[in-house]
Amino acid sequence: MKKLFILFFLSIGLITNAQVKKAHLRASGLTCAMCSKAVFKSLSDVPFVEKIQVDIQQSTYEVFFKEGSSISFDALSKAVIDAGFSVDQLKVTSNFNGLKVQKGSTITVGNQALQFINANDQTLSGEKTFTLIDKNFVSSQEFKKYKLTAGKAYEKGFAEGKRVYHAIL
Amino acid sequence: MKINFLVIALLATLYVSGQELYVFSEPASNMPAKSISVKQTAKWLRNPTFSRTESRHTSELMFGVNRNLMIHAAGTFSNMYSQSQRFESVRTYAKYRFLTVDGMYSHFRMAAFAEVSHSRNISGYDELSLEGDQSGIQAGIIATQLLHKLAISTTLSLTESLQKGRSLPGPKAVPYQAFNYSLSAGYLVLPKKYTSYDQTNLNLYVELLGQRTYDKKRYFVDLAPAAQLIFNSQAKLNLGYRFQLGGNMNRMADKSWMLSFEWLFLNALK
Repeated sequence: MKKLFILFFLSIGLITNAQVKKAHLRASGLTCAMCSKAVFKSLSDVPFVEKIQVDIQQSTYEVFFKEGSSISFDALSKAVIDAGFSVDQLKVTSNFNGLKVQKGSTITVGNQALQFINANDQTLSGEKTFTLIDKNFVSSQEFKKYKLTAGKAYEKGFAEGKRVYHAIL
Repeated sequence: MKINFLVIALLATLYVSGQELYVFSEPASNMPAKSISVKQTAKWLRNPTFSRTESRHTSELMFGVNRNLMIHAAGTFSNMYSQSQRFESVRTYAKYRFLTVDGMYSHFRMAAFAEVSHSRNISGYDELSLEGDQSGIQAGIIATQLLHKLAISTTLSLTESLQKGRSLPGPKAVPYQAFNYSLSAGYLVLPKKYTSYDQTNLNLYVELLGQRTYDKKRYFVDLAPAAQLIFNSQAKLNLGYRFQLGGNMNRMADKSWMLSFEWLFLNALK
């Protein structure tokens, strides 16, 4: 009975949720260390962020999340924008356990709904990295580019009133 | 040979990081949301009329209200219009960033600002300034371009002096309306490569600051070189010298020194 329960909960984990490990964020609009520190401090104060490794020169932030906490990609973007700058790239690294994905289908990653716009009936296993392409996660030029092909929920980032992120593998 | 050196020096400035934490003017960018900054400024000048060195001391608080709006409030003491140091003026300033185009290591930003000051001084000089000399209002726009390694900023503004006498009939002894402009450039000298937030940064700036009064037609154009040290990516120490390139205004002085220290508290307002 106990084993059955464990199996049951494990399988729920397999189907519905991929665990997010970390995110690699590149901020744009800045060069100076004082500006970079503002971004660093703003990201550090996001509740689900555990620690950050920064490369000031490259303007990149390796963001690690607290285990088991519910995360929000939008909160990361907001932190950077509130510091006065923009997100140029957000690469998310997650653990997948044989999750089948296809183009346009919605999956759940770290409690967040996500669509891969370039998935091709593939199965995701182990540690995989994908790049968010929604507004406020890419440059305005890239956003315009993806708007042409990424589907109707892309521009607003909402489908039936729910936040849906878009990503490429 | 000399030209070669100049070209190399110019290219060198293009390949170091641009800085826009200007000493004499404000960039279009704002301080981070929910941050507080505290700034203490001293200005010294030699007043030729009284053959003495006079100074002004300004205490300023700055708030990042949200990502686009910041507010300053300041009070000043000086002996520029009195025998000894006395409380002189208060002012408040608000800046709203309305355009942001960010790229990797670059941005173009625009902001609008407005300022109000109340001063107890009665100035007999042509120069209009809300930094303590006159009561008045000012509004303008700022555009700042960070171009990979070079930051250039320009400000255009109008000043209206509210000093007593503006509504009196007859010819005015001093001007009450001015157009102001500035062109600023800055670059990072040290460190050569960023490795940590603890590194002390050295930035150099040069700013062109001009004013043209248009009720009584007078003008000045100043050049203001400045050096800035940044400690722990948190505290700024600025030293600047400002001198007149040309002009026909009756000014208190046509050169001055400025020293200021500013401490930034990130995410202090929650």
